[in-house]
Amino acid sequence: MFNEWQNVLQEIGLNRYLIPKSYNPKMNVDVLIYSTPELLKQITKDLSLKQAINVATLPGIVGKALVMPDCHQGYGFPIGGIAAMDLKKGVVSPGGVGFDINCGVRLLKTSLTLNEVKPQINKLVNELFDAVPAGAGQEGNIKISNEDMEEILTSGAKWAVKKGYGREDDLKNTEANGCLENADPSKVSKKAKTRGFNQLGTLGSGNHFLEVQYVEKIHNEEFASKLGISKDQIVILIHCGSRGLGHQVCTDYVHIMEDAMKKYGIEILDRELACTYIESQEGKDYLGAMNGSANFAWANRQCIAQAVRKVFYKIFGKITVDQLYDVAHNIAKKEVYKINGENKEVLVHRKGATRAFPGQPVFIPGDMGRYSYLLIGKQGAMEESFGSVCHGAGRALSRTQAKKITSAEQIKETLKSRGIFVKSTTRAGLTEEISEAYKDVKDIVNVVQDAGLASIVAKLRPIGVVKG
Amino acid sequence: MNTFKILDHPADIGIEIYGKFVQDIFINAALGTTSLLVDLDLISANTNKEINLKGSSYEKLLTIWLDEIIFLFDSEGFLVKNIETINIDNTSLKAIIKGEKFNSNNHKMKLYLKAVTHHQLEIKQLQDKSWRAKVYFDV
Repeated sequence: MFNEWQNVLQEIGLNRYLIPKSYNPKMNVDVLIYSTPELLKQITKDLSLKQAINVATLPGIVGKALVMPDCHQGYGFPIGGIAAMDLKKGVVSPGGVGFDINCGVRLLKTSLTLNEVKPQINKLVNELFDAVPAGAGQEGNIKISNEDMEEILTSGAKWAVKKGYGREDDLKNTEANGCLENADPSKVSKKAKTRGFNQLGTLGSGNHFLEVQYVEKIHNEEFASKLGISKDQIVILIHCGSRGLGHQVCTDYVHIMEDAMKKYGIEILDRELACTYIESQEGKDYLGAMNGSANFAWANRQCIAQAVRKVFYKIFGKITVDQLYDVAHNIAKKEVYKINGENKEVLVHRKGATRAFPGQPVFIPGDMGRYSYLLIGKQGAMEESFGSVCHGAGRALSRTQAKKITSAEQIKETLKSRGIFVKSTTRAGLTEEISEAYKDVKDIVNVVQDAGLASIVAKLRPIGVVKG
Repeated sequence: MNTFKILDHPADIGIEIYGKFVQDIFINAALGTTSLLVDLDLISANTNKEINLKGSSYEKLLTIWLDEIIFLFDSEGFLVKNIETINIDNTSLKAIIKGEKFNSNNHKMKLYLKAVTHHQLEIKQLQDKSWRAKVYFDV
């Protein structure tokens, strides 16, 4: 079955597998994996489960270390990993958030339909490509001052709306209203601010993208109607994060935490799980900087969304482009859950995992050639997974493996034959992001739905893609 | 002796670096990192930069050095063509690097590197006295 894990994994329910804490005396809690036998075959090929076990050894971890079905090997935490920590006894780990702090997804819904947009898709994608700089080595179109930077780190998307990038109701439809309180710009290094200075309003590269999609299928009429989603409706999915600013913050604090661990005598099984106590000065500093980075990411997605709106208005005239929601999938947040019968505030690390509160929209992007899904959170997530679900398809092939399969030109042709027009600034943005490089997101979302964590509302298909 | 080779990774990318002396590791690591961003052949060496770094070990210095290479690219588009001088001891690194600013007319972006990770990070002297290092990047 799954090689070395065959005698370790216990199937404890539908799509649920347990690695009990008795497996390793250093584990403080069990590991719970949401998966299927097919997906497990892939998961067991890399270090994901070893990393999940390492997470289970962290001081102050509460409940279980969780692994979502889209998981793959990360740094310290597996991607698709969730860990909740006791605020007094627990640690915070930048590896449990990721280098791209508040990488996340925003969905805009329009009053347009597939038939109205398809004839103009090439023009639309070309204009979006110009309006939203995607790749590295390119500056954004938005010039800010040092004072702006301080305000962005403190107030996130609110700054952007104040400056005319979007509307007040965008904030209501963003996780945390687009701003985490208790951000501390003084804990974000000068280097991080310098990196982010010219990057506001840019997508970044790798697996980041901007997609024009249509609603191919409604799975749940009631929720779709509540969210204002209908068949053939055109929507736009924006996937990006805190750019160089967040990457530098994580880099800076991994160094700081390595020193902090020696200072506090924290021992860990994997140096990539560098961490420190949440209540230590270093822990507070990291959270202040992380919150600031998260706010930068929300300001970034807010600015990009407004740039997208402008392009749509320019081409299609009097239409509506409203925000459905915006979710983070690399973040650590203080939230309250019922644990052993009592309400307890914990710090939830979501590393490639999305918050899924009951009734809250969740976006799970697939690869650029296939489909994405709109889901809605359920009470099951609150009871079992610290209000969390998966975040995407999860890689199945490495970049080197994916590049060997086909060329950038062939990919463009293949996507064109499927009715998808793609524009990328790099060849890697195509060759390393082909469908074959990713798991099928349909399998991923079915796992979380069957586990009662979220409900599938709609299936979305891309018709235009902008990539870095 | 090869200077570096690319290492596969489930989601990201790494390089293994070789050198006769420890300075060579730092030089080849910088050029190997840059070659992931843009083909080295396309870069001209028309601007100098002075780098001064402190670290508690060669390993720490290597990560800080490559952090700086990524920072220079991401903040000002600076691409390293060669290392003119480099002096390293256990706790410090001083170098003069040469290169130029990215411009889309001359340079084709290959990959964007977010950060240096500590995954399987190592720098060590081998039995034959040559050096080898390994580093992975978050893409």
